[in-house]
Amino acid sequence: MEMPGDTPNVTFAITNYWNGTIQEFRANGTLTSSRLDDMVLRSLTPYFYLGQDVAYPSVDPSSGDLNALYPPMYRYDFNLTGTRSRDVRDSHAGLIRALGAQSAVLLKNENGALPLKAPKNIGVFGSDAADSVNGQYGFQEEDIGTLPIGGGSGMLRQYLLQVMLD
Amino acid sequence: MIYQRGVEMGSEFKAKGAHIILGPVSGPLGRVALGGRNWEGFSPDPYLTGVGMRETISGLQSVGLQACAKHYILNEQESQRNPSFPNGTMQYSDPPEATIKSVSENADDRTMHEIYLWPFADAVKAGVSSVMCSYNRINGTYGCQNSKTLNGLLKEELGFQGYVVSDWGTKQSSHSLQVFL
Repeated sequence: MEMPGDTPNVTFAITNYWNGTIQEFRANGTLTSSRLDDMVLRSLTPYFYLGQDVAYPSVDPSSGDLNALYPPMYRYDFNLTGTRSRDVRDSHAGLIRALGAQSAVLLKNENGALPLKAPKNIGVFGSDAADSVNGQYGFQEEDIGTLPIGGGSGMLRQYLLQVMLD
Repeated sequence: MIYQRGVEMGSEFKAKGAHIILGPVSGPLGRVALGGRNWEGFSPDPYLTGVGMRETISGLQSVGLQACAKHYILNEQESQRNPSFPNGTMQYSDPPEATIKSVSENADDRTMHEIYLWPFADAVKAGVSSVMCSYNRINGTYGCQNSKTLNGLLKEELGFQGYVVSDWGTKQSSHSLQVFL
């Protein structure tokens, strides 16, 4: 499967090989029918195996608009229907909070080894503890403040962000 | 807990109508601390990452979403991950004129198996639907047309039965279509 698909006018993905190339290769024998069958079988098996062909939710139309490559850029006519901008967060905040707590590395105060009997002051060290001076996505080396997420396809905008210092 | 995270993420994606989630990530594994996408994965330790992959994939696919183990493989740095012209302009395909190829990340057989392939093996065992081949080159050959990594390791040795999807915009020549993807 080749991504991002059939986008003839996109500067970086212009040369997509699927449109026309498959037919050409089949015609001149470069691509055997068994190889093509294998590709199709592999691509479609998970779809049916996971039951995605039965009563699957429609694509949220807002998702198309939010994509860097949005529907009008494709040769295929995406007909996106159904509720727009669905809130799918459910009650997942509880698990997110628990995951955050479980991911923190702490020292266990065994036999009262740590000087924590009656602390007058507690010092918090580390620039990740504070609110970001340059905004959450400043990505600058001399930044003060927490870096909630990195760059790349997994990047997103947080709805709520709790800073350590708080 | 990792499994439950997979379940909840999976239900969110499904409710939005997505059929495939482009994750979880075991590549980059974390060879270099400065690796730009390290944060998307679990740990530089192959065993722990493998557990993370297995639990996440099981959770995601349990609600009917297809998972995609990425980026396969040795995608340990983002710098020069795509080919570029000498003036620095990036390109996604590799035309014959003078270009600077993607970085080639090289590893010997033992390193590949014990470190980098390990969590992908866990992913395959967990029944992951798809694997995404990477932008970089592995031992000189582009990730999406590398027969050793895609056929020899993934499909033959690990017995992967799902499909390979290219990273966005990468299919360097007709080689990819012909033999590997």
